[in-house]
Amino acid sequence: MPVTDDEIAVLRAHLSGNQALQQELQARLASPAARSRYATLVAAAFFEAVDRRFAPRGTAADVIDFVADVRARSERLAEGIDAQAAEQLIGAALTGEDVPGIDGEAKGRLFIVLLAALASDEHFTDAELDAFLAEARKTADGWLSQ
Amino acid sequence: MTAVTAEYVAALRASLTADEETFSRLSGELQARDGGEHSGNVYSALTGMALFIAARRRFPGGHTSADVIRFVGQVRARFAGSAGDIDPRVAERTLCGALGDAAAAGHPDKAATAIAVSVLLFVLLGDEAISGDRLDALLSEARSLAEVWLARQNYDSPH
Repeated sequence: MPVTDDEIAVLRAHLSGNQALQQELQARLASPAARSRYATLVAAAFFEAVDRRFAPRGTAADVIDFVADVRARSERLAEGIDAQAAEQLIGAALTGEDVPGIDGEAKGRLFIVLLAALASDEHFTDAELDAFLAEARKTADGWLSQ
Repeated sequence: MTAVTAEYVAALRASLTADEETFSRLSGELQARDGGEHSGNVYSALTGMALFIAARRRFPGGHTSADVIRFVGQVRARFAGSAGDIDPRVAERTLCGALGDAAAAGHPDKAATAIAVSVLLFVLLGDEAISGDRLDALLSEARSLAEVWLARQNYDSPH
């Protein structure tokens, strides 16, 4: 089953910084299937955001600088983000390689935190955020149909 | 008081000026003369004090966690090809320790700490474009501090 509007609404709330709405909507994603679709959507959005930020000329140094900048934004982010794991995930998103040393749960946490930072830096208008989410949805639907 | 001899200062000077041949030769001689553990402790004390001086010159008005994280990120970005060798948390903790955060001082991973100290020092002094007499003055100050620090640790020279 492809991504539904419910999953898009949760991610939209998250990337808009509306935590209360995000939590309320996310609580409604009760089924394992819905949570799986949401995780796939988040991963797809992360790949899209990384591509926008770093492709085609982003360097390893750019990625290290970005991760350090994100970790410097708050104590919570400094403690919560493993810099080397984050750098590996961004690098892997750019090359299409897997990152075998990071478990699925840790990847999911990093995807959502880094995605929020990447989206924040884009300063999306509402229309731009919708277009970004539409691209991510298309990618996620492609993955889910495989 | 434990003597931080001129050879240790020369070895650190060689390291900071990327004179790898001299550094390797002096390191080998010091290990052969003073033993691996003793020479390692003396050299660590000297580099640690040099970092203490250089870090405070970099952040004269104090620092925040964000300053330290960003600076370590800049350092690792400069060595992007080998950034994996520089553990960011160890480097951040090492720098915080040098800046006076007692809780951050003394990471248990000595090898990772040694890499962090060396790279941080190299970049801090490189950014100052320090060389010649100014580098010698810094090393002289670091040498004095290292001798005092080693004495306070009741560190006895084997000689």
